[in-house]
Order: sequence, then C-alpha cells, then structure tokens
Amino acid sequence: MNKSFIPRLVNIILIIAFVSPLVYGLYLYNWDIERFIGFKASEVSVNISYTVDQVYVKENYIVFSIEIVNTGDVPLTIRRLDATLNATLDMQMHISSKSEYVFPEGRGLDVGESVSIDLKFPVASPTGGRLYFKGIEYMMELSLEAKVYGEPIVLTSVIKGGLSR
Amino acid sequence: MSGAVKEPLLTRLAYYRHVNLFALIAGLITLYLVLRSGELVILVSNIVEGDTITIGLGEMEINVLGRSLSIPILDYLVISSKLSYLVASLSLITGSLVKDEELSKGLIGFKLPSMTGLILTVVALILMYLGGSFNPLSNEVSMALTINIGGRIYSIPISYSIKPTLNTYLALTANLMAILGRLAVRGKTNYIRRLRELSTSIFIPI
Repeated sequence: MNKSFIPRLVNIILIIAFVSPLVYGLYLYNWDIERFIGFKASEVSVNISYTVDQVYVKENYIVFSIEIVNTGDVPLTIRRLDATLNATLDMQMHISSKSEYVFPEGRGLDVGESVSIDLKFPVASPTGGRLYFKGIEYMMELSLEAKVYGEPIVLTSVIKGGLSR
Repeated sequence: MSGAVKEPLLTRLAYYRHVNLFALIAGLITLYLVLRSGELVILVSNIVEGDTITIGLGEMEINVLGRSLSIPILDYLVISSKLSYLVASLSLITGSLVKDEELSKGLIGFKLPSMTGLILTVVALILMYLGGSFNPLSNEVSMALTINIGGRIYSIPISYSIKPTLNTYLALTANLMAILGRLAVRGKTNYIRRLRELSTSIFIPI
C-alpha cells in the first residue's frame, strides 16, 4: 500500500468530520442560511407603567405626582418625560396643558425599580383668582425619552383617570 | 559521516527513540480537551454584568442582555470541532508512535493547526455576519445586536472582553506542539534522506 494513502484517507475523514455536522444542520434548517446563522432570541420587552399617586393644585399649576415603574425585561435610563394633559374640571371646564420633566444626568431604572416625579401643568384660573376644582377627569399623553444600553428610544403611553373630592 | 550530516536540534529534542514526543503531547492534550468538553474561551460583557458567552468543545452558552440566546450553527460547529479534533488527535498520537518516517510525517501533518484555523475562520465569518468585529489590540469582541422593542427594531452595540481559561492555554500549547512535532519529523526525514544519499554516493563504484 502506498504510504501516502493512509494520511490522505485521514485528511478526507477529517474534512468529512468537520463538514458533515454543519451540512446536516443546514439540511435540518431547510438550507435557510439566515435562520441557521441568525439569533433565535425572544423579543426584549421594554415597558414602563405609570401610577398617578396624587393630583393637587399649587399656585397656577395642576400637579400630578406620578410613579414611574420599569416593568420591562431590561434596565433603562430615563432622560426626559413630555406630557400633554387634556382634562375636564368639575365636568365644565376643559383644559389643555403641557409639561416636561427632565433628568439632567439621566435616571437609571433597573427592572422593577420605580421613581416618583411631580409633573406641573400650568393652568390659568378662569376667574383670575386661585385655581380650584372638586373633580377632574383627565387624559394624559406621555412621551418618555430613555436609553436602553446606550440606544435612545421613545416610549409613548396614554393614561386616563379621574378624581373627585 | 555524522559530522557532515547533522540531525537538527528540534528533531533531537522531539524524539525519544522513534517516538515524536511533541506530536504525542499535542495529540494527548487535544484528546483530553475533546473528552473533557470544557470551555475554551469565555467572553465577558463590558456592558451588562453577568452577560457571558462561553465557547468550547462542550455546550455553547450565550447570555446577552440577561437572556439566553441560541445560534443554531454554533451547536453544529461544536460537533464539527469535536469530531475533527478527535480525528486530528488520534492521527497525531498514531503518527507520533509510528516508526516509518514518511507515514509519521503524513499522519502528524499540520492537521491540528489547520483545523484550528478553519474553526476560527468559521467563527470569524459568523461574527462578521452578525455585524461583529474582533479587535486584537483591546482584546475585545464587539457586535451590534438587533432587538425588537415594542415592534421597533433597535441596534444595540455590545462588547465583550476575552477571558482565557486553562483550556485556552492547553489548546494553544497543543497547536504549538503539533507544529513543532511536524517540523521535527520533517527534519528527521530530511536527515535520513541525506544519510541515505551520502551512503549511496560512498558505495557507488568509480
């Protein structure tokens, strides 16, 4: 037998040993290279929930004390919250106002962590005096600018509610 | 005669009787790595604590952004690597023990280093396909992970530092030993050929 036959045979076995599992895997994935090489990851959920703890009047502002909770899967850094308030006071007076809350350095929120903020909506009293109401029905559109692992994202949500005293 | 044709130092170091020690050690280390199926390299995330990617001849584990991911090709690449390393190690061991120099040279070959190179090339191609890159200066692997957040696609840059393990150094040693073993057997075959040529030329009648 030629002395080079055995090393050549070993080389062929080596190539088959390397290639065959990959080819078999590709066959199992219906020759779909993208699916074979790509990630098989479930969707990363980034969620924020808001709870209105308190609504009160301070000077010419309606102040909403809001608790922001990170209910998603990943930690995030919140940077700015823009809010548009549409409300009805005492079922008579419709108001619309905007407010913003900025976290200058950004506020990191781990999964499940929460932060409370006061959103101040400037509202002029119709009588020119002190703003006063007994009941409020509101709808607030919130737009939260945040960063997930350094990538800026915007999360929008709408909260509705009412209070009476 | 022995003064005219000298056996190379590497060959003298490598051989104990007819056994190529370098190739034998390379084969045994490779066989040990295959049978142990341990991790070869661990990539530790620079961004998220606890995120690691374990690459080895056993199970491949990828934890990105606190979640376990799966890349199908890697599972099959592990099997490929394992099988080819097994064949290479057996070939090295056999080649190191065989007395015939030509056969020993063929069996030792550059099988192990070339398989390592092939596996690393496939890994690099997969990394490139996933938009990643490897910076040898900073010893970092970086890639952009595409994730779906609330229906929108975001590209999150992530980077990992390479953390070698004992098996990494064993694999490097095995590859180095295999190269030295191959060079030693070449030196030996050349030495024997020259000796034969010399002895033939001496006995040729003028």
